[in-house]
Amino acid sequence: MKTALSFAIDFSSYAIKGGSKYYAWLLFLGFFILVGSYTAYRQLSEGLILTGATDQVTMGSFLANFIFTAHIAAAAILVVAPGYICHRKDMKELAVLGEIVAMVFVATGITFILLHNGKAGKLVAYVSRYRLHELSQFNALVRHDSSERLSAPQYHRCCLYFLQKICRHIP
Amino acid sequence: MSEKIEELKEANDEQQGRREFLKNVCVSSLAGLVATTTSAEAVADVDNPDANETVAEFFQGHFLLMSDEEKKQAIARLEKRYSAKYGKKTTVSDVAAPEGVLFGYALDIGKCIGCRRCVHACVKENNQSRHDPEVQWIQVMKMPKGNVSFTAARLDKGSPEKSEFGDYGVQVGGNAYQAAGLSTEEAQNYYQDATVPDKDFFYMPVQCQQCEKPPCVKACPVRATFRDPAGVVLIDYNWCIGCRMCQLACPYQARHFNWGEPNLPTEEMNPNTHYFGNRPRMRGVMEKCTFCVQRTRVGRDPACVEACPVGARKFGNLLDPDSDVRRVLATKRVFRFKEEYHTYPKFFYYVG
Repeated sequence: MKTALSFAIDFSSYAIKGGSKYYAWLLFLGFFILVGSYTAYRQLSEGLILTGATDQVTMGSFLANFIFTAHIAAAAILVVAPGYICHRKDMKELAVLGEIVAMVFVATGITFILLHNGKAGKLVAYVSRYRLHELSQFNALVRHDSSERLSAPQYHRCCLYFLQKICRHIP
Repeated sequence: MSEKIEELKEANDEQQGRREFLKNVCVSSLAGLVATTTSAEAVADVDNPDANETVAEFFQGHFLLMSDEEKKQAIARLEKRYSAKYGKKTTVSDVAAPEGVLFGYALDIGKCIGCRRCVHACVKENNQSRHDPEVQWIQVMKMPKGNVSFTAARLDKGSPEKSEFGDYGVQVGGNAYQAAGLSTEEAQNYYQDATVPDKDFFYMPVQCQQCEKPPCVKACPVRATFRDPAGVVLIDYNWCIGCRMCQLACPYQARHFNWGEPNLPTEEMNPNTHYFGNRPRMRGVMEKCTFCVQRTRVGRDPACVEACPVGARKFGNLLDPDSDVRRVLATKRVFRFKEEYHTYPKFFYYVG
């Protein structure tokens, strides 16, 4: 807990240090944060009709932007990889930056997915309602007929089997 | 900058692995994201007097996986809410599908006059949003006559393609560039004619085809949509998250999304509802034709069958050899719409 607090304080104090140009940049970004928060609030209270999508054109910029953010996050991981796997000193210094970019873009991407859904908050209900093995009813391996659901040990055996299969391909 | 980063690193390495710590930060920020979206939704419902019941409905599970007690409670909650909202006694039934029944539908495109009475009867029966936007489960397509694109006249036209590597017998011209079977290319979905039928056109109503291999069921990430024992594809509106993947998967444009709050006037609301059928929907869920599950499960015909003035629509049990649909299948020229997708619809078109 102490570590978390000191990390948060150090991180935020580091993030708001800078010259006047840096503050101008933060203001510029802050404007978009405000606009985004306002439109997100309106969308959550009025519905997806705000996006102007229709039954004919169902996917909008949320999904398009999600794909963009997902790939930025993947690219940031590639910056991290040479540092940790090949132990390159210069890349290790960059790794923190890469991790921050990856985290931010993963968070942004998940926000896009949540806002893309009609009832995003329903996710809480799923997590609170069903334990992990019960979530196997949503697994692609399992037929939707409820009488043929896998039991917990069956599900774990299934996962193990696929893990072993995947591991065989790793040298 | 790198000095500062080194400091941070040292500080963290002392007590806890940094990676683990970053993972924790990730998880907690995710939880924060989810919490904000949820609370914003809760803010919208703040004027609801039964806050506890709203929460209980929010956290309820998939209807098919509920115990009988939970089902009873869920239905009581819904009935109470609908009765209060629409000011009349509303019943939400959960009658199970009858045994030994496979519902099928047959439609005579030779008889259909494109009057759209079925469309409006459906809207009336199934409590769809009436305006801004009006949701219609049946779509009547106005198609030019002679639409079937593979013509005998063009059979001897065209030639195999010549290539410098040899003649592979690839057809060019003739029927080669036409879609096979019925083409929706020149179909008009939103025709506004003062009188119907137009003599140069025929009409083809399309609604949910109740496929035996429904692509929407495969696409749904939370199994909110499923095929019931009587062969009808249904949706648990409370379990649906509104991701619209089923809408992308459906080749018949049969699924409709509640983009905004549905506008259902109190006096037009139909109080005899079914949990999977025509109970009033909320914002942000999918809906579709259910063959009027609230009627057909108790032995009545769907509203569109009753409304058709020319008797173009037939409904019945595919397992019963004496039913209307089986008689049509045995004696008429029957086709399925978009057969090439191998969805095996239980909705048959025929020419009388």
